[in-house]
Amino acid sequence: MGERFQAPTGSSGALMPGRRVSCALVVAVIVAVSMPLAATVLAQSRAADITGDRIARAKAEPQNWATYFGTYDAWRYSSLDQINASNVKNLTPVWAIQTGKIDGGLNATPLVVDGVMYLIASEDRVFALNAETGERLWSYDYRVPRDLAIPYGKFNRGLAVGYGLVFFGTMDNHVVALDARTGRESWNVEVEEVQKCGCNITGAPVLIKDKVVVGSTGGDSAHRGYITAFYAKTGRLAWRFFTIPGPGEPGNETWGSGDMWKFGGGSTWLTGSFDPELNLIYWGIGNPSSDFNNSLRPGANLYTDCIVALDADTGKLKWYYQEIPSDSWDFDSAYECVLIDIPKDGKVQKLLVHPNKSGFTWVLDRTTGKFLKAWPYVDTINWVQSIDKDGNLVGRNEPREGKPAFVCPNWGGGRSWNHSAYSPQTGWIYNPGIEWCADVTSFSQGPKEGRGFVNGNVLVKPPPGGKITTHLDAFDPVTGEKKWTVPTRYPIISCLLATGGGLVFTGDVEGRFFALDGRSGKLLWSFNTGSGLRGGPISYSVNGRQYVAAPSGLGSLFVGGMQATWPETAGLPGGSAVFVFALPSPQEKQ
Amino acid sequence: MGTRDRTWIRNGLVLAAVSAVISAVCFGQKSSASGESSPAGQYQSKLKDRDFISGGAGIFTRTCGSGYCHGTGGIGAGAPRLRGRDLDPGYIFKTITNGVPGTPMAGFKSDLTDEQRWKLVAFILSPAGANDPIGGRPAESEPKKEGPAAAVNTGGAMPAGDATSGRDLFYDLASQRSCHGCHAMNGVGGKVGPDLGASAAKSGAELLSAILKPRSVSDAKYATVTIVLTSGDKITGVKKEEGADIIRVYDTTVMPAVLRTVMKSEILTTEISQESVMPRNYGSVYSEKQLADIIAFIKSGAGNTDR
Repeated sequence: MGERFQAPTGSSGALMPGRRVSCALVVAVIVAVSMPLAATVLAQSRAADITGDRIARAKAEPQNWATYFGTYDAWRYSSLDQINASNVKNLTPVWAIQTGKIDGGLNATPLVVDGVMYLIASEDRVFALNAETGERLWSYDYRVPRDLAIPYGKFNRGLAVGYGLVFFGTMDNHVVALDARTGRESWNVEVEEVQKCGCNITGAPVLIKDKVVVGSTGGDSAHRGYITAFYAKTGRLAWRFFTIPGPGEPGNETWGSGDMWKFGGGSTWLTGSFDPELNLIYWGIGNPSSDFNNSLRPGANLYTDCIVALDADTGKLKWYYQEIPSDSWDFDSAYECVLIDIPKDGKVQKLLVHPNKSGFTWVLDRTTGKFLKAWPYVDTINWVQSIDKDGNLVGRNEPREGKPAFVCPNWGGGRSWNHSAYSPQTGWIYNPGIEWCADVTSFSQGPKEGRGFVNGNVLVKPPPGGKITTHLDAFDPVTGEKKWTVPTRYPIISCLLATGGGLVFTGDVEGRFFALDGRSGKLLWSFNTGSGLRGGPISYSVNGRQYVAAPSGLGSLFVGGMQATWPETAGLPGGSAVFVFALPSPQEKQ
Repeated sequence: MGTRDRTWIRNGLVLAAVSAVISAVCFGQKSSASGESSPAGQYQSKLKDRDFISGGAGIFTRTCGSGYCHGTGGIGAGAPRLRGRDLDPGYIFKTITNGVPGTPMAGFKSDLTDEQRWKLVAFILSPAGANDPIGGRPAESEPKKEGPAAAVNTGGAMPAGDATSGRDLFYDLASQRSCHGCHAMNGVGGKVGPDLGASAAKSGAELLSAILKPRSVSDAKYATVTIVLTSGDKITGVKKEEGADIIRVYDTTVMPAVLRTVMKSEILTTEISQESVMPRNYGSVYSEKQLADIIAFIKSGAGNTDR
């Protein structure tokens, strides 16, 4: 990829080393001067009001999308219903923003608070926009560390907002807070040296109470993972939960007797959920490294491939459930933890529904961590014969040294990280799937701190006697009963969005952003954005008008890997833009 | 105070012995890895040699072709396809050697010898074919690299300084007081205080004294600044820079240090002290052995992981 690397140019060139503060101030001044009065008011009055308590009540203000998943329960659901199955065919673009750099695509989910959209693009470029018009209120460019290798890429999945600040993690493993009114940096803390951990932050932080909680990449590196919480106002460390117990801590014995606990991965590269009533944060922990060779780390390898429930105030472990002990397939448990309450026998069951890369969705009791069920969301699964009623894996099909093992699904997963959506209207979860396999050969090489620690080679293969196929499905999240399925040409790698209008929005790698009927899966509307969709669409409203925003722009590790399976996708164009849609306004209708 | 001073005196007694041993060890562990650069031509003439290509295939399998990187056999995965692209050999070698800043591509100068890197070039340039030696082929073992330093046997009651253990302590992420919170070694670590890569030449006695008895700062830029804000928040740390309207301070109240940007209009009071912000209690935080380990690491000057 060397030939594609270019030094930053253009407007960001103004941010010379040592000059960024004054430049940011200049930007702020220009913004203040050039903004219309209404926009000035917007920029100055909004995210300041957001607190952890307000996000906990986010369902009461559907006009906003104030946290990464929309709400703490990771539903990716907006109850707005102005746009519905009968009128979605009239949906029309009202504005767009081009972020200006397409390297890394656009993987993010925008946030909207009281009429202001906050967006982060690749290389940690942050924008505040008038959510009605797209008018830019301010922008901020993170200083690209020129002399560093950037592990896991320069893309970024999202922000958190609150207490007058905008928070994000960086490609060189810092957490930064900006003044939400001006874009001026308020605080900046290094989480761990990139060279030491071979990790960085591509996932969105989440504001929980008075803290910003954030994970890190590093699951394929010789590294010890963690979740870190910083006080939102000052950036001071509140707590850190290591995903691998140290010597003397319970669970350290699950790593063998050597020092593999220092190198076993357990990354936390996506974003957790939160139950304010139980005061528990739920976070999916990534795979152990080395990914494809578990003989180097004899034992269950806690807390990799676990769901952990942490006390939100202290970061102390309340319970854990390990989905895949001693993983040797790179089946992260890092995906979203969807929190659903289901009435049963006159009581409310507090559930955690968790799609895993392995092709199964686990269902847990989120009060206790008790296993309830695991159901498959793809048909092609052979890495394990079954999962029994107690959650035990039966008949493991492990990669071996020297001779390839045929494993389904492959490490790309039954789906990628792009999040599912849950609609309380239908009671269904909407989730994509890929039917594919691979020949996996493992090898055995010791760890080198901060470097790749994978120990495997993978050749993608179709399922036995068939072709690689992809689809989009609706399931009962508890029983796993499939409600409908829609075939797709390529994997759906955009997050999904469910709305109160009975719709499911997502997009494909060819650039189409589309709406399906949530009950039938029928295609109701589509718009060609010109580049594939990899981020998180959202819905919000301003002054009574509902909008749907679609991040468009191909680029990520998964996209890089697609060309080996679908060679023609190597030619798909990159991009980095957000398209915003609404129904025609009364004036436009005339 | 009494406890701290007693600790200091006790450590002071062992100073000379520890530093002498450490010096001897560090002089004795010069790596030979850097002395093996050969004229590139010696290897370039072998780029079509079957054994040379095959050797490169083995290395490729375990490094470049592993994981999410360039794919099995170099057909591309998370990182670009490499085979069949008619790339320039010198360009490939340089990229393998130095990496590509700003991307996940690390440099392999410290992991692979010149010969091994040229073997990779040979494999990448070789045509992909049915007899491609990919996936599962026994791989060439990596060269043995020496650790930062070997263990030291003092031959007496004095603690041995082990640079590897010292490195673990220096970078201990679970500790609020580990050195890396403020100091880097050769660029890797905190930026609050000086990079200790320049301190490798100091005697063990000097380093021990600096760790145990940090007092006044030698350079005014590391002075301790205490700022009280109108919000009531108090920041203690080290000033990084100052603009017309703002001041940027490393807040060391809680580690890791937080780089705070404060509007001057928000500042109630500012105090500056020439006393170092460095904790005074390392004599009780660390054992003698641990101090000797940290000193051995600093003197090894081997903080950089060459990423």
